[in-house]
Amino acid sequence: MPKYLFQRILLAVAALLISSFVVYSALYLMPGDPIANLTGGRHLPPEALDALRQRYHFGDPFLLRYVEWLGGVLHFDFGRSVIFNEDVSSIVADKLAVTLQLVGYAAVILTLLGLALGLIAGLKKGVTDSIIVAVTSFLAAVPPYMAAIVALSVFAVSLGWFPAIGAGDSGTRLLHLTLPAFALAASSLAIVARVTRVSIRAESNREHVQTAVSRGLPRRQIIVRHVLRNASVPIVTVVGVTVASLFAVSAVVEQAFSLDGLGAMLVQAALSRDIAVVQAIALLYVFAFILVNTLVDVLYAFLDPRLRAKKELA
Amino acid sequence: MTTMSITVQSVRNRIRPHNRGSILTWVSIGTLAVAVLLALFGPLLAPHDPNQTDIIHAYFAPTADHWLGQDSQGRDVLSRLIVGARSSMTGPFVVVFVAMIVGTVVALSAAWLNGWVDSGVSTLTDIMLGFPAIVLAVLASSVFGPGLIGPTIALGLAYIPTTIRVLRSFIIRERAKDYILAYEVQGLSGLLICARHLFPNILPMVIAQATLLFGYAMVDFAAISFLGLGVQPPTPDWGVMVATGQRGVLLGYPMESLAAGACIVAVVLAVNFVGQRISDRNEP
Amino acid sequence: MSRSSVRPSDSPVIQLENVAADVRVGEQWRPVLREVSLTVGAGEALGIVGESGSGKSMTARTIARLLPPATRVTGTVRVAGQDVNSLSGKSLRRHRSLMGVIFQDPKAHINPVRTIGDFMTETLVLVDGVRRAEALERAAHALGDVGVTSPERRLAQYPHELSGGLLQRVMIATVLLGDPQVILADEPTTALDVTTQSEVIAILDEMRRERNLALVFITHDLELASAVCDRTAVMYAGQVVETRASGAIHEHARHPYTRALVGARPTLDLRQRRLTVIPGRPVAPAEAPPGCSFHPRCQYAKEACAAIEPVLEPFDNGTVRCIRKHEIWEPEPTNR
Repeated sequence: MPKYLFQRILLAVAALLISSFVVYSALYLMPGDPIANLTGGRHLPPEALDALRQRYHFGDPFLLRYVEWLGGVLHFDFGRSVIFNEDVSSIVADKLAVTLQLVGYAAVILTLLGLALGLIAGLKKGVTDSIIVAVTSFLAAVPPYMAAIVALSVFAVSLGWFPAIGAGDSGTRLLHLTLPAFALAASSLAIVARVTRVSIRAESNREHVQTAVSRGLPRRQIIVRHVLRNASVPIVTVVGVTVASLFAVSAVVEQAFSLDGLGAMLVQAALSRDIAVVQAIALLYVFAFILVNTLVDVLYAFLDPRLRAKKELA
Repeated sequence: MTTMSITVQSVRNRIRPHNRGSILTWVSIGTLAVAVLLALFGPLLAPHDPNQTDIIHAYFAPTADHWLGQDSQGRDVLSRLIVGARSSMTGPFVVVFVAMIVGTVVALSAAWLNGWVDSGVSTLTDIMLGFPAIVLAVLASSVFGPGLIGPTIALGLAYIPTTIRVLRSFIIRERAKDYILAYEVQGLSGLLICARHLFPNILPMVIAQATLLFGYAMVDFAAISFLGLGVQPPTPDWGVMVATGQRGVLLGYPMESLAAGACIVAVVLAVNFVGQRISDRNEP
Repeated sequence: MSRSSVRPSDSPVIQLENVAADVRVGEQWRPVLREVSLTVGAGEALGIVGESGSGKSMTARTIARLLPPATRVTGTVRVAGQDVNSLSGKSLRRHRSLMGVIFQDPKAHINPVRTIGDFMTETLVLVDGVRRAEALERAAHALGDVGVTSPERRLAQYPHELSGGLLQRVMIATVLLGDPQVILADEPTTALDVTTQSEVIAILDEMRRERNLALVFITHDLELASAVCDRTAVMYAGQVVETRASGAIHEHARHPYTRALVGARPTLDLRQRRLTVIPGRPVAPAEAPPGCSFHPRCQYAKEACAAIEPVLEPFDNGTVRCIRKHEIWEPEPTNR
């Protein structure tokens, strides 16, 4: 078990390093003069340009710059934003809170609702099942920004149940984030429900469940100890994958609801060629993605001892 | 499964009819056909000039002349939708084409050559999968500026690992079959076997994967345009229209966004469904 | 603490009378059991032999009521005097826990993500309220009873770490832990190699005698059944066609199908002779022809056999389902 954990963490670190390299180099491989890209084509006096060169070590070889940047990142120093003339870390910090709350909220919704719907559909047959399948099939095809627009149009503007713009202050935060969170979670929720349903169905038909029935165990115990427990691996996978990808997709929802989060910041920075900010936020997204995936893999090993054995042999 | 359940199951299968969902299949194919037609001949089919503004009639409701009403600049929504099909579908098409070609070649090579090539490719794809497509697209937009080029390259790159992964496991299974072994024994070169014998047999799977990927690409492209990093207004494009229509939604005129969004969803659903059917048919 | 009540040794523990079962497929009901009547006494071992589709597994399932959904059962099924078909909910669960079922493929029938110890003590802890530590002790003891070495280590292992034979012993030990009155063994050794087979059979036999259990042993192997069980019942097309003491079955089988089965197996002690081949193929209960279900393949068949449905009747220290039984058999043993 510890061996498996070690291997997995090693892989995660490798992935992070390579990703950070990609993030960093992508922007410096841009055509044209790095300085021009940095300033976005604005004209600055020569002294300022020189100062910039010094500051960003443009004289140094590429790899050295990468290593320095990486060093800074590990200390939470992402450099300075050219546009705002502030440390990137402080700019990003506030937005991070909003995004984290949104993603967290959506993650909770998609996990709880998705599991619940999938469970019900998997265990019951007949009408309930058909309805859930139909609804989830539809939802799975609706991308988050579409769900966002529809939600905005119907629940915020027409019905006025929820605010349409902004993240509100600490008191009204939950209310403001409800619609965006649901929009973000909608299609992922459907996928989780689908996979849950299929796994539960498959596990219920397995022979070891027959054994439990033959021993006279109460139905509820059988469902929890044998069906759910065994179905948990594919379910955890799908929940993990969807939650991991929520970060990247959150940008779109933030835009739709005019939320002041990382996504909005990212877009703005990309449009204004504020490299340091783009790098920082892109790195954060990737980091979140890799972190969640690693956690899921570790959770696997606890859930299914056979995987442990297989992976350790590999 | 117990013998009892297998017996019952097989009897059930024999009795159940085979064409469930054939109506859906035809609807999907029909939708796709319409979409392709619009993409190819859009400008000829539009009733109005999609770029013709008419501010006086901004946000007007649907009329006989303007079936879907008018947008914030008074332009005909329907015409913009029709013309926008081309822009919305070209990018994804190119992306899928590129990803498929590269992905297939790499997957074939990895599965055929085995050894360190295969492990190398697997590890690389595992790591690359850790990169969300949208992030790549955003990075690319910063590099190349807003427009179609950046996102196309980025998404193409992002989709290649997924393609490789899916195809590789399928190819490995196919490669292990006896008929391939027979060709090997006869002395045919690896390249020949892959090209003439292996490839045609995995083609259905490749097509199925391509259709699914097309759906994802459309969604991602639209998302990028929605964010303002892809196609720019006032070019008619479904993703862009969802974005520009957002103001309209807030003012109570959701038609532009909803109609554009509906188009995207319809095409994606149709493509997904067809892809699903193709892969179901070819399930070993 | 024993869960079972006083066991009268003269009245049968298991009683099946005219049991029939149908499974719903689509709109129709297809028969899987047509007419089964059996009894098993305490301490007795009954073998049920038949080919695939003959209904032998189904019969065992009706005793435990472990039937697939959409199945209806008619006739009387009694275990220890209780009418099984009328049970439901808690009483049904209780009934099931009084029986031990040993399945065919232990690897598939034990939950792979839980430890052996967990598997063995589940019922004790969850249903009987025994403390986990004590339950594990009992489990280790039971493992020792069936010949498993270092039981404490085994309890902590996972199913995929044990061989098929070992797992089947675990199954048996688990079944015995529940202190059952009846054991239903559904082809328990089919998935094992021959050496392991004999070991497992030996254990089952010993346990049965020690604890005076009623054992129902299902197999397609007539030899095996006769070796292990006191009596053997032969099934064909969803019906019991013969029951007889195992010792007598080789020489004195009275149903043409049984005789053919006996003759089809090569034995060491007889001189070389042609093996019997039964023409045609076994018939599913739903496809049974009118009259006697075996008549199209029977060498003794006459016109009447296609018209009259034979009834299972006592004959010559056993029961037989054949209208020609009096005509075919003479007092002395038949041809070699």
